[in-house]
Order: sequence, then C-alpha cells, then structure tokens
Amino acid sequence: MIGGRNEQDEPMDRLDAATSARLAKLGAMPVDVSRLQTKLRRAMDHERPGATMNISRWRWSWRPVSGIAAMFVAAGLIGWLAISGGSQAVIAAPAELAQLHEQASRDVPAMMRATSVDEANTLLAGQLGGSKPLPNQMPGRMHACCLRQFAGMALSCVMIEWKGKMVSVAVADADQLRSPPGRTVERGGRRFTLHRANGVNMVMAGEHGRWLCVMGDAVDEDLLDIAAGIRF
Amino acid sequence: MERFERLAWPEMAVMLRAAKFLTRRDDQAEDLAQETMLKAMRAMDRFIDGSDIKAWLMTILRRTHIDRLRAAQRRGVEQALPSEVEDDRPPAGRYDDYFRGEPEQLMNRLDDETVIEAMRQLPDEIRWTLLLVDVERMDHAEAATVLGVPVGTIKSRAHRGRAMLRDRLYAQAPERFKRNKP
Repeated sequence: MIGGRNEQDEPMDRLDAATSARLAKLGAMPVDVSRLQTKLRRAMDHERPGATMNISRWRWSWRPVSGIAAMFVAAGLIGWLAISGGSQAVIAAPAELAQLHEQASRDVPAMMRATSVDEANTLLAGQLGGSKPLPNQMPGRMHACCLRQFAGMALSCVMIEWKGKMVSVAVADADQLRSPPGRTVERGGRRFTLHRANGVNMVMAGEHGRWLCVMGDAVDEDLLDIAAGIRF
Repeated sequence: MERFERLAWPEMAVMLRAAKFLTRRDDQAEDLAQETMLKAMRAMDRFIDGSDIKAWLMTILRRTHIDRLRAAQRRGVEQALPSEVEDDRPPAGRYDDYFRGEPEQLMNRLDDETVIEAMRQLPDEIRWTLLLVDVERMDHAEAATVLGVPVGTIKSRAHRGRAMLRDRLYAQAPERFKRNKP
C-alpha cells in the first residue's frame, strides 16, 4: 500500500493511504432512506405544481354545494384515496442496492446454502420478518439465499452464478418497492429498467405483484438474460 | 419533477450519509437531507445536464448546513460555524508513531461509529474535505468546486485532516485497542 493513490491525485504516504482507505469504507456504509423517502415524497406531493393551487379555489367551489352533496363528494374522495393511495411503494435507490449486492457477495460463505428455488423458499420462510416467495423459475446456478432488511422491509435475496460471475437476485412486494425511473428495455414482451451504481449493473422489473432486481458486475445483456429467464 | 427523480433521487442515500457526518442525531440528518433535496428539486432547472449531480447536491447540502448553523446561532443554540482559519491549532499527527507499522490493520480494527465520531470532532472545513475526497471519492478539483477553494487547499486540508483524524482516533480509541497493537 505504500504510495497508495486517491483516484487521480498524487501518491500518498502509507499512513494517509490507510486513513483514506478506512474512510472510503464509510462511503459503502448502508443507510436506511425509507423514512426520508416517505417524508420527501409527501413534501414533493405538496409542492407539485397545482397541488396547493388549488386549495383556495376548492374552498370557493365548495361554497355553493349543499351539505349533503358535499358529504357524497367527500365519501367518494375517501373511497378513491383508500383504493389508490393505499400503497406507498418506496423507490429502490440503486446506490443502496449496489451496497446490498456487494455485502451479499462478500457474505456468500456465511449465507444459507441453497441450490434450488424450493430449498431457498423453505429456508427463507423460516426466517424472522417473513419473505416474499422467490420466482418459480430461476436461471443460473444457485449458491445461497438470505433475507435482508432494505428500506425498512424484508427483501428475499439469492446468489446465483452466471457465466462465472456472482449475481444477486432480490425480490420484494411490488406495492412496497418500485424501480426508479431509468432506461427501459423490452425483452420477450416484458419491460425492464436498467440502472448502474458504484460499478454494479442492475436490471429491475415489477410484475405479478412482485418487484425484482438482478444485479452484479456482469454486463447489462447478461443481467437481462437472467431477468428474462425468471418466471413468477 | 421527472428530471429530479431521474437524476437526484438516486443520490438520496449519499446525501443522508453525508448529513449523518454533519449532525449528531438521525432526525437532524434526515431533516438536513430532506431540505437539501427539496432545494435541489426547486432549483433543478439550474442544473446543467452532463455536470456532476453529486457535486451539485453536495454544494446545496453544504450551504443548507451553514444556513442551519447560522439560524441555530441566532436562536442562541451554541453551534460552531465553519471557519477558514486552521493554523492556530496544535500540529496534527502527534500519535502517528502509534499507527506506523501496520496502519491498515489498525484502521480496520476501528468500527464505523468510532471513525464517524472522530470525523464529527474535526473542524468543519476539514471534515468536509475528508467527506468529499475520502468518503465520497470525489477528485480534488470537484471537491474544490463544492467547497469554493483552490485545489491546493483541498490537497493540504486532506493531508492535514487525515493526521488530525488519526489523533482523534487515537485519543478516543479504547485502551485495549492501544494495548493490543498488532
């Protein structure tokens, strides 16, 4: 490590390099963004153009409406909110997922050994916190599985080997987690969203009530092949 | 809004993590990160495509943090404001002899919370430099832009800051850590 470098800059002495390397590990420290996401989403909804507008206009427009009609409208609104606003899916942050993959890759030897979907489902079902059943069909060679806390929810993860590389497949409830906007690709009539963070490529999809992320240092095409081979 | 969600939203964890280095409580860190992200959303039309979103957000985070410290001072809550003067402090690196030999091993024996606490005790300008250069791995030029100082200042602050951090790590490390030097 003598003469370690901080990216493009000049050589550091060994003490500085060790200190810098220790600090760099803090950059991979997982943080739970779920509460912040919820608060921010709420604040964004409030700030959305037209959201506040129209409170004063609403008040005016309610004036001529009779009390009974107002009650009907209110009941309708409550019903609509119950149906449409019930799910508050958190957006999965790619940087957090990349950390999850890196940790899972390091922890493979300590994870529960599983070589099939059935075996993994049985092991995961026995974990505290519950788990979402894995897809029925999973390509690649399965090595291990685990349950991880992610953004305040349980995420079922399996590690599979694909073309000599370890790839993580994470599954959650689609009404709890959703993909951030990104480049979308169609494969076999299914839509996938591509992301990349901290050197980890990821392919995400939401279908059949489940959210799925396939990630690793494999190229997008390989990850897409895996994702397209997964069947719920 | 779509542009904000596409470019800035994925950096939320980075912002929250950085805010944790600047505050002492999780709720304060969340408030700081939230205010930063909301300011970014409102100013998104000023962000130039192709430039570094993380550096841009960090600049907003820094300004927001300073504003909050000033507001706290006005309210009479004692808070240290960022200072540009650092030369009157005792020389850093007093305990470097302890770390020589196997510095990587010694550093890795310290848990994250110990290192973060030591970071929090550093002067603001030093803490920001180490946060950007070492934790977030921004290059010196990017860090210089965020902090509004010359690149040379970043280099000297980074070197001095690491030595200051080692001093604090040594000072707050448990005795058993000092006795069981590998």
